[in-house]
Amino acid sequence: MDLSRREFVKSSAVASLLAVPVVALDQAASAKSEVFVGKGNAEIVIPKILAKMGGIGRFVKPGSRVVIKPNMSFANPPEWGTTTSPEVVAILAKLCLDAGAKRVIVCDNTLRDPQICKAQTGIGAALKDLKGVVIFTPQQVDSFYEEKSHPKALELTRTEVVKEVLAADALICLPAAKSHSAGGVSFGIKGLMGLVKNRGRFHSEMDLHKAIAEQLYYMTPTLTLIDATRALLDNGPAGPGKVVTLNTYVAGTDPVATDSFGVSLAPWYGRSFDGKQVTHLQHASALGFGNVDSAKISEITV
Amino acid sequence: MIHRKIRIISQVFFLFLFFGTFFLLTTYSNAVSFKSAWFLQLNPLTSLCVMIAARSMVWPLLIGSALVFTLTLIFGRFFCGFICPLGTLIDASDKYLFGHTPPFKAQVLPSKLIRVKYLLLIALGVLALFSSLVPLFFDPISLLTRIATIILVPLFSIVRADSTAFLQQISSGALSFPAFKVPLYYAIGEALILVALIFFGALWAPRFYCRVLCPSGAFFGIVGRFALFHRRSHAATCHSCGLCAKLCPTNAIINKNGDTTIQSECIVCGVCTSKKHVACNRFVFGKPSLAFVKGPDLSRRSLVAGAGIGALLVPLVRADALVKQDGQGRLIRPPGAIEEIDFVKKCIGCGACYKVCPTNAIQPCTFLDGALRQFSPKIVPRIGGCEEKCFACGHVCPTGALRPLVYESKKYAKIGTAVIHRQKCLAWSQKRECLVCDETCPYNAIEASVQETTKGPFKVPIVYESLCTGCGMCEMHCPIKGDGAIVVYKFGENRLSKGEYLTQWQKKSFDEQRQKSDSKGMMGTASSSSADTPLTGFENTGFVSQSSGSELVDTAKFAPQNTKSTSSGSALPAGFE
Repeated sequence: MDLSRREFVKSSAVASLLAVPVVALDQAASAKSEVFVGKGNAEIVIPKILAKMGGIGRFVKPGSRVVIKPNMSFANPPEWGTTTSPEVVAILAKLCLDAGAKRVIVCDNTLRDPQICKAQTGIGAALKDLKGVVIFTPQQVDSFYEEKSHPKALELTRTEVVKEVLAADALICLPAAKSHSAGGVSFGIKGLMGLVKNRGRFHSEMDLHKAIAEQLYYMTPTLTLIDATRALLDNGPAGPGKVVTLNTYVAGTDPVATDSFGVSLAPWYGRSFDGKQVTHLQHASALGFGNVDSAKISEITV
Repeated sequence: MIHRKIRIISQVFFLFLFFGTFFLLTTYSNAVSFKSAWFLQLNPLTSLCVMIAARSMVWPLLIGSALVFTLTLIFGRFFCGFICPLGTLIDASDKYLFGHTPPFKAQVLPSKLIRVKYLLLIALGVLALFSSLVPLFFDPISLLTRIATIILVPLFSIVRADSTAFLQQISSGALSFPAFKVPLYYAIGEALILVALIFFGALWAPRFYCRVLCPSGAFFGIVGRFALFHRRSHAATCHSCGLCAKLCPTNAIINKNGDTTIQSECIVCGVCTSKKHVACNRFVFGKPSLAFVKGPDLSRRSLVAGAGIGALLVPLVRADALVKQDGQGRLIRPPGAIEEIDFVKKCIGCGACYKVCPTNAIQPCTFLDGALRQFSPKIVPRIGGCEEKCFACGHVCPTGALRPLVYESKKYAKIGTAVIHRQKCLAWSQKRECLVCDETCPYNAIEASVQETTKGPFKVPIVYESLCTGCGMCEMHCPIKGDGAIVVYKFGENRLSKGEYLTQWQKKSFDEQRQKSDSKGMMGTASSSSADTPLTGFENTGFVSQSSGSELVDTAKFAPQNTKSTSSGSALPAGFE
């Protein structure tokens, strides 16, 4: 192959440029992920956690549009632990507004009837008086979704993602801590399934755990805040099952590390697990989305 | 003139009242606290036929119908002219779409056509005697409710959904998002045929449907035959111009000098008293003079013909064998439906229940479900499941074909049972992690349990029949295309025409049974049968035991039934390794 000097210089320049992000990503992956943990009254603890992280302003810029993804798929009261606590959703939404967010969109493609979910989970009532906050349940309406594909994805090669999420300036995952019959546990990354249209495909056409992890190709959570006011220890995700009151809140910018730490909060199905043991978190880590290994997670108690 | 004005005000008032009741009260959130069925209970013919068919008194139908019946004895067909919202819509479409304005050019119809409605009335009466209702033309109110549900509700929802999406796009999301599901219905073809029959009759004459097809109109005509309130032309001022005959939209004034009224055709609309045109007509109270007030032009032959038509239809709609066959066991009636054999005698197919259903699960039956069942409700779980905390449908039913349930009684009013077709199920046949049915079941009737499948032990869904109410949430969400791998069949349904669904004793044993089947749940089976099988989602790399010092609450006590036992044993739950 003939390679002129000029071409050689050019291509090596390009190659080195390409290498920069790869190296940077590699470094990021090898660095420790910080997870912020606080226990107590949500109203006090959540602002404290966020302050420690550098303030909510780090994630929510004035005039921005923020999507919050809670769990509100089930028409159960918050005591069942199947949905995010309404108070926590309201606290976070209010913090976003205070940080200058133009609009906060609380979005979930609910499994049960959206009206009934809104009423039964208490989320509808909790957000009623907050101006600038809307609850958006895109359900199966095509026009609310945009089909996306990703060249690196092996299982979830294409999926419809809520347009609002793609257009948002920040995506905050606000999962309830709960067990899950197929996924093991359900935290932030599993919760992203509430922002795609066709979830049945995850089960019928793909390896569920890999597909859950590959959602991160399409959606990047700016912040994950696990609402472990309660944890549903078994019989998740729909309950009713054993519920333990923890009043613990875990936040982090690394979605995998935050979820992984969340696993250590409570004994699932009567025994303790490490984040590494959760298949979909392992996959997400292997794909380079964050750290699953507890050795690489530094816990900062607030 | 004043007569005509009052009539128009009354028509508009009742039209708004009807649609207001329909759109605002016949909804999931208002159905239980507000009575929205009262408009559908006004028609004495419907009430009479339902009672004849059911061979029993149907109390909710009595008051409104008795009132309208009495008023008809006094005022004739005032219901058609003053109240009927379908009549009002026909008037509006006749005038604005088909250009029928008084004096009419083409309101004369052959008497053979006029007779059709009496034939239908007699035929329906005969059918009712044989305990069959054909909920098709009976009642203009239920006809309009049904058409509005099947055609207008989806239309408005589609427009709303599309415009929301569009506005959201152009405003880049500045507007708020309503949460709704666009309802769509079967039998839309049949409904469109009804619309055509009702409104396109105007190609021949105004008020075509009311004059030719409406059995209720015929009934009111007969009941109000000797109405005290009737038209009289003032002999002194009448100069036999014949204009009033042309002013009458229903051709109730037949002869040139305008002194004779066919009382059974007169809808008391008052156009003939319009001072703009004539001065000699007015409506008076008093004993009608039989020389001038005529009844329907019915020969004995036509009565026999009507009865004959009805008799011929009896085997078509009565077919008990078909009633029992019920579409491969998939004809699932909404919760609270009374026993099928009684149900078909009471259901008038008005469609209020499918309007009110928040999940679009209730669908109208089509002809494929039997002529008798046309437009009666069925649950199609593939479209929507029956929401656990909703019991709106029974509260909007005008005839009591669906009983008004409450949360407590709905638990026991089982509508069917879910069955897993293992050869189709992703977990059973392909060893794939799915369990969406378990996830969606509001009654905790599906357990994920490790079982021996053809491809080795795997965590698969199992249905506990005693917990299952047949709500169909599982069938709705099953990711298998076409018919799901989990399907609700009507067997096991608990339908009662009256009384408690279960006695206290039965309820106790039922609840105990639920508990027992629960304790056989996922973890018990998993630990006893195949302890070393990794359950889905977790990975088996050894675990530390940890005890949580926090307060432990079993939410089972919040649940309508008891929940399954705690996990125990060493098998890994799903999702861990």
